[in-house]
Amino acid sequence: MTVLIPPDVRARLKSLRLSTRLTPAGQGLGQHPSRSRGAGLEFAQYRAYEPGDEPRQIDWKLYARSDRYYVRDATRDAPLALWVLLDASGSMLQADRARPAWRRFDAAKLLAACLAELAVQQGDAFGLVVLGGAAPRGGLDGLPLGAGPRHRDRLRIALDRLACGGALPDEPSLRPSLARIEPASLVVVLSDFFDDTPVTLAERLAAARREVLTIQLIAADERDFPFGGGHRFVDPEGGPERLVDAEAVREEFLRRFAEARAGLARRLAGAGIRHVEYVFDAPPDLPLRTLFDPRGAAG
Amino acid sequence: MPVLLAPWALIALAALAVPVLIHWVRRSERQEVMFAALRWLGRANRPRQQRYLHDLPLLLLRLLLLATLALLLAAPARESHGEPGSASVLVSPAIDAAAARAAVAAPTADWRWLAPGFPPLDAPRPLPSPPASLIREADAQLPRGTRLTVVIPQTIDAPDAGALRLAHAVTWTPLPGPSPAAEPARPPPPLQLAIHGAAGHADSLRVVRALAAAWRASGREVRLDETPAGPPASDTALQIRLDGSEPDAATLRWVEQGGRLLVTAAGRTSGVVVLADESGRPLLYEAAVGRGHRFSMPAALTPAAVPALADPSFPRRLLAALLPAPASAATAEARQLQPQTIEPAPPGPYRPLAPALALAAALLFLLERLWASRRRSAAA
Repeated sequence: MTVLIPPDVRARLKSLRLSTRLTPAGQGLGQHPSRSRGAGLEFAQYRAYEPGDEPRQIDWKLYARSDRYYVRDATRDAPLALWVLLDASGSMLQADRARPAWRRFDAAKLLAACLAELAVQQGDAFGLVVLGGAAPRGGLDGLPLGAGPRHRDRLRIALDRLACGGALPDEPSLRPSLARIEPASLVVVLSDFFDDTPVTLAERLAAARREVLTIQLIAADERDFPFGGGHRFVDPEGGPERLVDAEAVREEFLRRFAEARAGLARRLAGAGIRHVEYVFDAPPDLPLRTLFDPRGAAG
Repeated sequence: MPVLLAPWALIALAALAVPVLIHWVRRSERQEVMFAALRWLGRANRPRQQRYLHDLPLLLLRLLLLATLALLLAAPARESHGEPGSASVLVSPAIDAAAARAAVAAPTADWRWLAPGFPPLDAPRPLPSPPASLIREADAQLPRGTRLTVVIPQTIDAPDAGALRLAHAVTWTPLPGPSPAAEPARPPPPLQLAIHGAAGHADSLRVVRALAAAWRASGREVRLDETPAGPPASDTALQIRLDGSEPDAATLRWVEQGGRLLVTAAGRTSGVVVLADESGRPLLYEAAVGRGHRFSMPAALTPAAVPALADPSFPRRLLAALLPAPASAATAEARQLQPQTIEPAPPGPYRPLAPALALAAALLFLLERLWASRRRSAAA
């Protein structure tokens, strides 16, 4: 089934803007402030002359007024590179009992499509890296960087073909797939972060001067644990089953799960990663609004 | 009203416990939940053993199927009652069909010959057969309430020993007809006796001649061959060895094929006692040899050795022991054989209900399979 963005969500996406705190280093024209100073389009600031600056950048009028050498800086907008890291391991098969056709993986794919939509709105480039999954090449599936509506359609087709399942490979074997991500890119990691691998990947990228945002997808059943009576719990990534009485384990599970989530948030914040939790029965623009709303506090 | 012909087979109803056990499951083992956050789920206690009966309609279907099969094993049957007013007339083959129709006023009845298979009266007249067992068979097969009329000749050939006790009330109609005893009885064949060892046993030979004379006097033709040569001829009825010697191989072969041998003054006696004197002392032994008989008399056939020879009934008894006559056909008067009705009427012929039940069981099985597979696809 094609990943389709519902029309109301698409309308709300128009008010969001991708932005990054780091300055992008890409060449070409874009909407983001770039580092490339010098003769450009917009006046940015006057800077004191330092040996090494080009003499023709000195603003002589200001020198006439102030008798000091000032260099005129201009900004040149550059495009942003957005990379979406999509977790396709077995834990993404989880769905709510109330809506068994809407799995965590489907919500993640919808989020990826929304992010691509935002990038196309701004003319930015975007690419996809799939972690794990049932693809024969393992974690090297995805889409290279590209821009424009045609690339968005290619992304949609690639998302349709994806299947999730199996365990995530460990972090060292996934490093080659991240080599395409240039510094000062914006990386959004979509996962449940139950395993350690996506967390380590995010930390590694953040330490290497990429701006990393993480969206943790959680099922409503995991947040509330509404089960009652005896159940046989099965891990979709394999492993032993648990035959437990649900009411007896609910309190402990909620406590431990909340602790784990809080610990994760602390760890990611410590690495300078902006983290948001998303219970995927809510509309998909909710986490994006938290991360990208230009008016809101998280700007 | 339906009865069970084998009620002990209802013990198969114990199998009803099997589907109940199968459906009596723990709820926890049925519900499988995919849960990715399993690692934070505590290593907790086993669930409370909540057992319940799942899928009640399917369980009821299966119980019904098993009950039907158990009932089938118990062979239910129904007494078959004929239509009220039905009548059956059985005519002995010794009676003419037209005479029988004239004698019995029952034009709408079911007329049949009293012969094996009970062919209808329109069929050609079958050979006569003993009527008693046929009447009993008809009585057992006809449904209760049928009026039965039996037309037989006034003298019945070969009645069996039991009186006729029937469940139906029978109209017994003896008609004058050709009596079976009209055939002239063939006279018995002449007795051919071969006597061995007559030389040296003159007094035994005299006794044998006296016995032969006594048998002739009672109407039997007897021929004596006092000097037989070679093996006994095929028409020899009895070989008498007066010297107690054992027969040769050819004679033994003749005995084995159905001949009769009498050895007097026999050194060896074997078999059962068939003749004894008044004090009970055995006189004559009989042993079977192949298809024939070997009679042995321990004493010599002389008046001194066998004082019972003087008994006037001895020749008749000896002849009866040596050569038993074939049973003569007994006859009886028809009115002596008037059947009696058994009161209260015994349970009548049963019509089995098995085919209907088997069809019901097959339908139930089909339903159960459909239901079971439909539920599985809905849950999948």
